[in-house]
Amino acid sequence: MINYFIKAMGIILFLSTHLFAVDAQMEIVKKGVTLPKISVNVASDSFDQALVNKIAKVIEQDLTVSGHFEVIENKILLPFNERPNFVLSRNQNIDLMVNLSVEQSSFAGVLLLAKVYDINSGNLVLNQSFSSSKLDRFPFLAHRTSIAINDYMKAPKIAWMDKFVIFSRYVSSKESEIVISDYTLTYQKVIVKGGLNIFPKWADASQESFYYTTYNREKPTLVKSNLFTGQMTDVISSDGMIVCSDVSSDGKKLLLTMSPENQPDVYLYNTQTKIKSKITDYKGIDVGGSFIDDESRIVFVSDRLKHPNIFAQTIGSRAVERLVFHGRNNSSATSFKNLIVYSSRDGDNEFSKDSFNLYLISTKDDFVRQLTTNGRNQFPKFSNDGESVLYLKTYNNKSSIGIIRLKYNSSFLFPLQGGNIQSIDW
Amino acid sequence: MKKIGLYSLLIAVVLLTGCSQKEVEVDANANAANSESSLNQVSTNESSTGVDGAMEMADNGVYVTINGKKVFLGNVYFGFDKYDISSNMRDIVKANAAAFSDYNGKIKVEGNCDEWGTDEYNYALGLKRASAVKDALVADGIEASTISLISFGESNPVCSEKNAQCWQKNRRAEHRLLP
Repeated sequence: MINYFIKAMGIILFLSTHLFAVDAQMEIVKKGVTLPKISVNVASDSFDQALVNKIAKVIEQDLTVSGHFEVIENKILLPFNERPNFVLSRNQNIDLMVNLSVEQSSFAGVLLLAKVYDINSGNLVLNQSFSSSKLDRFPFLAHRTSIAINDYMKAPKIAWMDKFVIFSRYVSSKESEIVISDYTLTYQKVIVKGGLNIFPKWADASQESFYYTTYNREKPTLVKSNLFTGQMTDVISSDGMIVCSDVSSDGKKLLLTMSPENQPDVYLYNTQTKIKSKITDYKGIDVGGSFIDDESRIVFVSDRLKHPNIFAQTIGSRAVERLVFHGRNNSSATSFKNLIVYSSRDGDNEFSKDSFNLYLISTKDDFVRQLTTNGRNQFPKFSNDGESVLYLKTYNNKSSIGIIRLKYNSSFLFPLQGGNIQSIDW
Repeated sequence: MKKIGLYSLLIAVVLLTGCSQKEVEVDANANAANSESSLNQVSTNESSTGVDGAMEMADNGVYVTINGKKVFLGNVYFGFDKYDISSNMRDIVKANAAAFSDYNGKIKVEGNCDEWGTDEYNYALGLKRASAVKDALVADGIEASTISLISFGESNPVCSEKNAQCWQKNRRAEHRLLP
């Protein structure tokens, strides 16, 4: 018997900026650890103050999301090449002071200069510049600045902030486009357009290639595309549907949902031998395979108990284990090693609005942790390091990208401008 | 006490001023490999889209020409989260099967869903709807090998309003004649 241990919502924090909000936290956050207090500032003599202010705002978000800093509102206004008054700054309870400046570049891009002062030791500890050839890529300059500050503090790595997120969004009926973006979805670049192209998935951790399903062939076809060369290779087709749900850590094995005989099941596909083998076998719906337990097993979604629910199966075995014992519609899941996050609709019909929540379970114990409390929370995806879960939240008709930092009991929302996201991976 | 406090503060200021002479060089390597610079090599792939042949669409189906005769193929609608054909849809399937009985070409059945499903499950639900229609057509005498299936999940709505009537219209299977 599973012990349900779903903690009630502890505290709800709303950090109110236009770009950034904190989602409902599910557990009472212990404030025992004192985080370094950091003040992010725009130099008074910087070129393009509006741009630097936007960069500063993203850096503040990053540092907050990292869980390693306490971003404080106290500001220090001074020219870029002037040192702060350390005594006064200490009196303002500032541990670290960041001063940012942008230089007008001759190449139509932007050069961001960043100085970081350790107020307690009275030292300039970081003095770095970051350049971008295009203005609209400024979020990446901010993320790299945040990573440098975090590295200086020798805090756990946040290099993932400089990685791309890939997603598809519907444009109109039977038409979608595939987009890469920074993790806050502030910067976006369309990389595939024309027709229905869906379910993008990174081919490996290097993010050089990605898989997606295209409907621009006779049958739904899985395509592998190189992000940098644009080279496209048709991998495998299927009548009905085909989706790449997961990629093994070495990139050599894929979990596909496909229906060569008009029956959606989960298949294992070897990218080297090009041989597929059927893992699940059920006359209803089996979809969304995701590797667990050293890739010896899969978690997947099936309606074998009349409603979509989360199950596990050892590859090569026919025995199926039910993993979730609540909810009447648990229709998507993501995994990292032995951890699984799934979405569960708390109501049981289409009128049960705003009722998809995310839950975390482990294959190693019976613990169930509720991660969200309101709205439609869908498309959960683990980060590569398993420390965070990315998801899409719709609440009060507003969509946001959410990030749950599992180790830090915190979650954050980045409001999404327009667009109907079909699927997302990072 | 007050004197001691002031003295301590002065000492601290001197000490800190002394420390502050240490500076770091501007790190010119901060622009090593990163996502931003890799964007310079990223281009956009633009592909052609598959276009349906000329058809006369109706609210609840499509008109096609079979052997020179204009016939109507009715959409088959489904319940919420369901992929079984309800009794009131059986007559539509029978009528479609009768229309196909004179047709020698291939047929495609397209499964569609409302916006309420998520992710892959919705595409599988659309497929199961198309598959249920195929099974019913086969039961009514149409050769199985002439029917192919495709699921469009929630990507092909005919109605985009947020109400029950609209969602009902989107939970459907449609028919196409293949060239």
